[in-house]
Formats: sequence, structure tokens, C-alpha cells
Amino acid sequence: MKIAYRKLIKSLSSILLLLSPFTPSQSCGPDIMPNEGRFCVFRPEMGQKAAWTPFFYSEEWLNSYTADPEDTDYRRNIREWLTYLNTPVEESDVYELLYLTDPDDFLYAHETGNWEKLETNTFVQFLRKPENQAVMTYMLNAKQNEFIQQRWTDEYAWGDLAGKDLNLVENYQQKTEALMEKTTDAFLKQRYAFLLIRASWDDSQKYSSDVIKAGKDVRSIYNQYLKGKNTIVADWANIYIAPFYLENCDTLRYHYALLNAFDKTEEKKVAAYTRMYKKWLPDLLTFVPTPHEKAVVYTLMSLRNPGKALHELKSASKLDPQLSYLPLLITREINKLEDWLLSPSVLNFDSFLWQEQYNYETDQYEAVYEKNREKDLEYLRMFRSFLETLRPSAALPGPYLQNAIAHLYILEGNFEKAKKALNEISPQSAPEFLIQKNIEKIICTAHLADITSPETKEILAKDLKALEKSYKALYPEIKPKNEYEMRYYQDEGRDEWKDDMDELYVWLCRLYQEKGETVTAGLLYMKAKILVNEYDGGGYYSMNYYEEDGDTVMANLYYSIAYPDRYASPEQIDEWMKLKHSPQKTAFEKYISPEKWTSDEMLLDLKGTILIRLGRYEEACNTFARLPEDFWEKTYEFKHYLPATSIRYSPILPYNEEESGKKMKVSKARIAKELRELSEAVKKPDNPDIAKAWYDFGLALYNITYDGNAWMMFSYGKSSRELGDDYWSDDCRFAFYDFEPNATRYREEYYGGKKASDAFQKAYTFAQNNPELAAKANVMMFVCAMESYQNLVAASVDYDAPVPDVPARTKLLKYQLKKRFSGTRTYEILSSNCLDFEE
Amino acid sequence: MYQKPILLFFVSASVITISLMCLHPAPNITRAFYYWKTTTDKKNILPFVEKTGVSRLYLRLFDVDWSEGGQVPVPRGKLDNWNYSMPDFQEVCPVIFITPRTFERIQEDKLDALADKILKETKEYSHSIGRSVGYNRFSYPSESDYDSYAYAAYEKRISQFADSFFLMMPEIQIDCDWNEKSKDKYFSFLKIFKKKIPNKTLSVTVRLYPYKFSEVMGVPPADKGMLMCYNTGAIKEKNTRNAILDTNEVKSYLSGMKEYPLPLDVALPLFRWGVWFRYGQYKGIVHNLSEEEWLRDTAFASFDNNHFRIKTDKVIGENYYREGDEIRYEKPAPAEIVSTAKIVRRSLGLKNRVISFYHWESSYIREYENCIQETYKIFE
Repeated sequence: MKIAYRKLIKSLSSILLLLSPFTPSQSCGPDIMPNEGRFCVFRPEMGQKAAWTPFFYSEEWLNSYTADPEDTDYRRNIREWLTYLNTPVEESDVYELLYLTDPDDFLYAHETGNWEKLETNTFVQFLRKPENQAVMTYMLNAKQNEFIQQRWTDEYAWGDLAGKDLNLVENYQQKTEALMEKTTDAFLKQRYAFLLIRASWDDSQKYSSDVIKAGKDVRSIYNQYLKGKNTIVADWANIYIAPFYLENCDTLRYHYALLNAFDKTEEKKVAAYTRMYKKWLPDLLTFVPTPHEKAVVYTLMSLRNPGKALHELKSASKLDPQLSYLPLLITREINKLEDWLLSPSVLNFDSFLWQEQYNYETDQYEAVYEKNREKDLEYLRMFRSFLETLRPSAALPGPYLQNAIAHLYILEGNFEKAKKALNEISPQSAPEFLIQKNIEKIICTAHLADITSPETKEILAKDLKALEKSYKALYPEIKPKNEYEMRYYQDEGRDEWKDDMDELYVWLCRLYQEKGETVTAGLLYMKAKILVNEYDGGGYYSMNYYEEDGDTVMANLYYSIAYPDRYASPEQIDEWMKLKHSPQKTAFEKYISPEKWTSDEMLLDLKGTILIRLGRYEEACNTFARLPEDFWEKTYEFKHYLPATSIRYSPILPYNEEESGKKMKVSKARIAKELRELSEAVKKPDNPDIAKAWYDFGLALYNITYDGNAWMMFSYGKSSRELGDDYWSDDCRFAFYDFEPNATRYREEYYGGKKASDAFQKAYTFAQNNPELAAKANVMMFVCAMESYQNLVAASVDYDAPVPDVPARTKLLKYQLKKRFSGTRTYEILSSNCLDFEE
Repeated sequence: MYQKPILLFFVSASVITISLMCLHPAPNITRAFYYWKTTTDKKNILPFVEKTGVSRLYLRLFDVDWSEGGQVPVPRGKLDNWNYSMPDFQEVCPVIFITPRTFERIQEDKLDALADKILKETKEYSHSIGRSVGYNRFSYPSESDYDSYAYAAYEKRISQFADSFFLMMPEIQIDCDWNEKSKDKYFSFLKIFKKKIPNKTLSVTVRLYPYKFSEVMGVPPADKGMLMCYNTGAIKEKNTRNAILDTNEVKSYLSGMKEYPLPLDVALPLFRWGVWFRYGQYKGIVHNLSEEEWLRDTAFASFDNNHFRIKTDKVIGENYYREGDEIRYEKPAPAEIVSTAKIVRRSLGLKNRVISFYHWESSYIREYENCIQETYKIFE
């Protein structure tokens, strides 16, 4: 799961939702591209060129990357120029003129003779000499070509449609052709040929047939001047001549031209790849002449395969053992296996385990999940066996292979063998291989040793710090030379570094959670700041988005307690606070400590809330008492979803005077106190009004359920993603809340009103001599039963299935009310105010 | 003996009915379609246009999205130039989709510039589309006139027509699924944009949620709205039957509503997709499902009602389907479109309005031809 999420945010457009073969939805919940849900700690960058990033399994947004961040093609072009010029011109000056100088600026400088901006550029100085007029003429033409291209390709340029400028293109082509024919300089002739070919192609219109027809068929120019020539412009030109083949239905030559553009250039790789048709690739195998080219075809087939692509990898490797793409293809397979085997358990995406954890109907998934897992492990073993047959080479360095094999052993659960493979990697290996080795080492330690022991924690802290250090060495902070570098290049590696660490943290988090160390797990989780399939607050946006902007939205406040809300006990929250304030933290504790701790107030509120869930009202009161009185008026969304009145309130029966009462401050402390008093009242053996006490306690318990008016005593949000499906409620507007796993833990109590119903049953039993109170208790038992039916039964059936009938007991309660209490005031009020009830 | 009064009753009733009919003539309905693709439809769609009387095309020109890199709004997903002769719809209305985050991120003082850019781009497109329509509307000179004055005159006429095409567009529509964070700046933008097109109708899309909860979501300051009666279900929920259209859902949104403050046109769905689940969890949307012949391959997938269940791991296109995956195939049933239309008509009343289908796809149109005709008639 790499940095593409941010890139996605930059790039998403609604039209893709309709036109691409697969798109994520933008509706509620984590909105992710498939790659965002892919767990990945085997670093795809290892042993690869930066230009290949778009082809990583964990990167799906092909066009959101700089085409050739290492400037491989540009530098080759500059070398060709320097060889041709054969004069003391600075390499950086050639770079500046070719790639950093705006065409307008250059053309303007030439027109006006004002070279102020480029005065010191040695290449410009060369061009301005009268004897170099031919090269200057070429450069002016080339800049004009750039101008034409940019007008069409720059998405930031509004309102420049190419359609009406075909005359401009034609004029340019005529002029360039004349210059090409006139010059006797072979180097310039080739370059003019390239410009002419490029001008026949319109990026914004892709392969618009009108433009192609309007332009010259440049294949003959390519064949005459560029075919077989060892120059970057010949290789680049492939992408521009390809559409002419397609226009003539010659799909083989079309793909062959694109294959050459893909293989021989870096800048045109993605462009060539995206223009190929998957279904025609196999035909290309018999068309391309050399084993290397056949291996490249298999490479392309593998890149287009989101499933198991060992066959393509084996074929490519057999045809060309020195194929430079082999690490790319191997890493893709490893990342796929990581995704299939680990994403469900670590990130909760595509997860049967997720379903199981929350007690959903899992029977139908369990068997197939296990079957798919077995198939994946079998594939993993086949794949590892293949890797073990490969010999290290320039294309496949030994440390790369050993890391790959070790990682596969880890995925298989064989940590000892993984360690053995890692030991084969020399400490003198390149930093990128040592980083991966350190990652694998940390994972092995975490699985083989007792991670809860202080000794192991010390080792982990030391290794994690060492890992960070090695990252710093690999990705030193670079001061960007120009806007281009600042925008695209500089932060890429450092972003990946952070992402790698985050994924490691979340993996460790899961291991600590398994061991019951919730505080450690929670702090690692929060350190990771990673997108998982769990609700952390923030709704549509990532928590980082707003944090970075310093704009606090209420839902984000929940992020600070989301993890302990899901997993911590009240005692563990005490541990959390103790660690927070500990003056003598161990190295490991220091390492996992966040830069900004969750506030004590929010932790205390959470602790009190969990105590309320557990029915430990006395402790809840003591906990809330430690918070400022106005905390709930000023913080989060409490004041909107907690009542300013007593919680001895019936949703269906009129207020009693004493219950409606005066308005008070919104305060969990006050409500907890009321709960405590009511819970104590029912325990008094000598309580003369025990029936009323149970009834009032029942009302209070009802009001802290999902449908009650003080539900925020129990949870921190509401949404359509919950069991009750309260879609129409305003309550769900501030966050797309998800209450799991608490929803499962407190299912009957919170969504079904079980505890409240039990209290009303007691009230009913004790009120045999008080028909009015018995009637009220009967009404509330019915309300609880309906709540349970609606939230837990009716809302969870398949849409097409018939809604189950209301349970017999619920019907009986209604019948009983009419039969036994129709003479009471309660029944009279109810039947006149609540028509449904009378039916 | 009592036949006379009955006869009198029927005569009176008929007179009253006829009088009422005279007082309330049949509403004037504009039959429309959305065109939402980025590429032009090469199929010959003229026969259908003529047959159904579709006279208006809502043509999505481009999206506007926020670029974090550039810190500016940028156009995306531009419609290709209409390189093929466009059927002669009487009216073409440009639609511009703007992402809500554009308004969340843009500064208030940049809204005017954004409106200018959108208008400039729209005018450029209008010219290009005008040419395409022009070539269809005006007869080409005969071959003998080629290279003659007639040909030059023809080209001049097309150019003039293209130049004036923007002026002929009756309406510009802004499509934005605004939220509470983007509302204020979106509404400010609409006010600014309207000032720049005083002689045109400015319409906005209104989804069912903001329609129902207009007090919270606000009412966009536009001349009219297009109520989008689809995407009614929770797509990620496994138990959802059909997220595209559920008449009961539409009914629940429309029922008990006071009149919306804007005059409303109506859009109904005409698209399909597959909703992909793995182990009961939502995985994504699969498009072009009807063209996927593999779904008929019983060795690969079993089909039950509107659910496909994958039997074996297989890569299809760019997707890797695993054994046990499920795909809920969703499309609006013709009867459901018709019943929804009836509910919408009852709720909104019979008025002059545009009835549009979303969206133009030749194969769908062929399949739903009768339904489309019937639906239009419901509002007439």
C-alpha cells in the first residue's frame, strides 16, 4: 500500500467511474483504489529503476507519476548532443536549454536579441555564434515544436483545443520538412526527422484519425532517417509512428513499435504500455524476432496480469536470463502474495477474518477463504522453488534474490529458514538490499521471540532505529535544484520510506494485539497512520489530510481514541495514561511514543464510557468527575447527542413532571451519576417503591441504547453503516461512524435494548398492584422488543428475502397491553397518540 | 326513470373534465439524454434520435477537479472533439462536472477566475460541437461543386454556424454533489457564473439526498434543477438489491415533500454495472458487464437471479476474480423505470419540464427503447 492514495486524490475524475473497467465507489466508507488495500512490506523499489514505479503491483495509478524521474532518456539525449557539439559546452547548460527553458522565453530572446536570462549558458553562447547558425535554426524549430506539443498536452492550459489549429501544424510540418531536406548535417537531419514525426502526433487527441489523415504519413521518414539508428530520438519516435500502423489495421507493427518505445526508453514507457491492447500481445510473440523482444512481450503480459503470472515470468527468464525487468516481475509476484495472504489479516481488506471477527454470516465464506489461502500457499511454494533455481546475475543481484526468498519463507510462516536466507546477504551489500534485510529481520524477531519481553522490545527498538537510519542514508534530504525536482522527484523516496515504516508498524501492532498488549498495539497503530478497513474518524478524508492543514474537524478528534475504543479495557486506558506521563520510558516506549499524545480528557472520557458500557457506574462517575464540568459542552459532538435533561424519559409516553425537569448542563458526569443512583436504588432490599425504581432504571438504560436520547453515553457516532440503519437520522451526518467490534460485543444491549428490557420486566413483576406502572413497563418492554426486532432482525436480512415476522413474544406484549391494561390512563394516552399501536 | 339524472351527470362530468383539460393543457415535455463519455459515439444514432423525438442532449464537456500539486482547479476527462457528424439534436446543453473538493479547497476570491475559465472552455467546445452539428444540418455541396464557390460558401456557413452555436445553447448545467463543507463556495460560484451568462438558463443537478434535506443541504442559487432519480441504494452493502434504482427508495425520498424551491427537471437511469464482493466485502464496480461473455461461461461463474458467483480463479481484463467472489449485476428494470417515473410525476406534478435519461449508450438504448418511449409519455 504505497503513496498512491495521495496521488489518487489528485487524479480522480468522475468520468472514470463510468468508463474504466473497474473503479471504486465514492460512497461511504474508506474510498480506496485496489492498490490502497494491498499490504506490502517487500519494497517494490528495491533493484528497480524509478521510472518503473507505475508498474509496481501496489501502484495502480499509471499516469500520476513522472515519466522518467531519473532523467535517463534526457541524459542520453544530452550525451548525444555533447558528442555532436564536441566543444566545451557544459552538460548542465544543455540540460537547462533543452528541458528547463520555456519555448516562449527562448523564441522571445532570439527575436529580441535579449538573452539576459540565458547569458551565461554555454550552450546558448555556442548557438549564438554565426558559424553555428544551422544548429540555432534547429533549436528554434525544436522549441517551436515543443510549443505546439505543450499547447495540447498541458492539462493546466484551459481553453486550448487543438482541433482548430491544424493549419498551424501543417505549416510547421512543411517548414520542418524543408529544413530536413536542406540540411546536410546527418545529426540534425535525424533530429528534424524526429520533430517532423512528433509534430504529426497529437497527444490530446491521442490517435485521432483526423489528425493522422491531415498529417503526413511519417513512417517513410522514420524508415529513411531513424530506423536502426542508435539514438534516443529513433527510440522515442516509435511511439509517434505507432498510430499510423493502427490506422492501417496493422496491429502487429503497431504493437511492435510500442514495444520498442517501452523497452528502449524510460520516458515513453508508461505511454507505450497504456496504448497496447492486452488481447493482441500473444500474437506479438511470433512476430518479434529476438529472444530478448519475446521476453519483453512476456514482461508486458505479466504486467497486465493481476493474477498468478509465474508462467510469464518463467518464460521471460528462460528467453533472456539477463532481462532487466526480472526483479520487477518477481517483486510483483511477491507483492501479490503479500496482498492475498496478509492484507486480510493486517489491513482488514478483502477479509474473511473481518467478517468472522464481527460474527457476520461466515459459513459461506469460511471454506472458500481457506481454499483460496491454500491455493495461494501452494503457488507461493512453486514460486519460491523457481526463485531458488535462479542464479545471481547483474540483472538479479544475489542480495535481491536472498531477500525475495527470505520474504517468501516469512509469508509461509517459516521464520527460521527466512533467517537462514537473510544470513546469506553480505553486510557490504548496497543500502537498498540492507534495508530490506533489516525489515525482514525485524519481522523474524517479532515472530520468533517473545515480543512482550523487555529484551525483545529493546532489540526491536534498536532495529527499528537502525532501519530508519539506513533509510536516511538511502534517501538523504536533497535540496531541489528547481521547481521540477521539487514537485516530483525529491519527496518520492522519502514518502516510500515513511510508507514502509508505517506498514511495518501496523504488522507489529497486530502481533502485539494478539498478545493482549493493547497499549503497545494502539501506539504502534497510531504511529502508522495507515488506511485500514476500520473506522478511525474523519469520514471521507484521511486523518492526515486535515492534520496537515491544522484544521480540526470533530470526527478527527475521535481518531485520537479510535484504537483504544475498539480494543482497550478501562485498566488498559490507565496503562496508556501511565505510559504517557512516565518520566522514565524505555527505549522501546520512547520509540512508540507519539509526537502528540491523546489528551487526558479524551482518554478519561473513553474510560468512563467503556465503564458505562460495562455497567460499572460507580467507577464511571469517579472517572468523569476528573473532567472539567464543561468538557461535554465544549468538546466533540457531545452537546448535540446527549440530553440536557434527565434520562428517565420515555420515547413513547408523555413526560412526567419530575422527569421533564429543568434543563441542565450536558454532562456525562451528571448522567453517569443518575445511572449510578438508579442502579443503587434497585439494589436496596427495603426500597418501598421497587417497581418504580426498576422502571426508572429501565428508562435510563433504554436511553443509552442506540435508539435512546443519550446514546452518546455508549458510543461516539451513528451512521447508516450500523446495524440499525438509521439512514434518515441527522445523527449520522457528522461522521460515517462504524462501531465495530463494539457493535458485536454490545449487540443485544446497545441495539436490542436487552438490559433495559430486563429492568422493565422487573418493574412489571413488582408492579402487580400498580396497574398504571405495570402498563408503562409493558409498553417499554414492547418498545425494547421492537427495537431489537428492527435493529437486529429486520435490518439485517437480505434485501430480497422476506422480512421475518415480528417475534411472538413481541406480539404477545402488545396483546397483553390491550387485554390487561386497556382501562389504564397509560393505554388511553398511548392509543390516542400512537395510532400504530392501536392497530 | 332515473336514467335522465345519470345521463345528466355524465354529460356534466364530461363538460367539466373537458373544461379542466382546456384550462390545463398537456405539459410541454422536452425529451433529453445525457452524453457522459469522453469519446464520441461512432455508431449511427440518428435513427433513434428521430424515432424517439429526443431533442436535447446534455453533453458533459469536462470535469473540474482540484489539483493539490498546482493548488488550482484543473479540467479533467475532457470530451474528445466530436470528430463524427453529430445528430441534429435541436438543443445541446453543456454540462460541467465539478468535484466537491474543488470548492472545499479553492479560495473564495478565485471563484470568479474559475467561472471565467469554465466559460471560456465551454465556448471553445461549443465552437467545435457547432461545426459537427453544422455538417449534419446543412447539406454538403454536390461533388461537382467541390473546389468551387459553393464549397467555400458551405464552409463559411458552417463556420458562422459554429461561431453562433454557443449563443444558441439554451442552458448550461453544473453538476456537483456538494456537501456541507463545499456548499457555501459552490453556491457563491453559481451566483458568479450566472452573472456571466445572464441570457442562459443555469441549471444544477440535485441528487435525492439534498432534495430531501434541503434545509440542511441548502438550495443552489440557480434557475432550475435536474433531480437525479437514481443511485438510490447503498452500493457497498451486500444486501442491497439494486443500488442504481429502487422505486421504493425514490418514493421514500419524494414522499411528504413540500415543493422544492427550484423548478425541477427529471433524470432517470439508463446504465448498468456489476458490484464486486469478496467474502462479502465490497471490492468495486465492474463496468461493461453486459459485454462480458465470460459471465455466461458456466464453468467460470454461476448465475442466480442478479448474482454471479465465481467458481474458479481467473483473470478477466484487468481484474483477478477469485473463487467465491460475487458480482451483483445491477441495471434498472424497465418496469421499475416506468413505475419510478409515475411516482416522480405524481410527486412533482405535471409541468413543463425536461425528462432526461442518464446516459447515452447505443446498446442500452436499443434494449430499453420501448421503456424510454413509455417513460417520456408518462410526463406528457
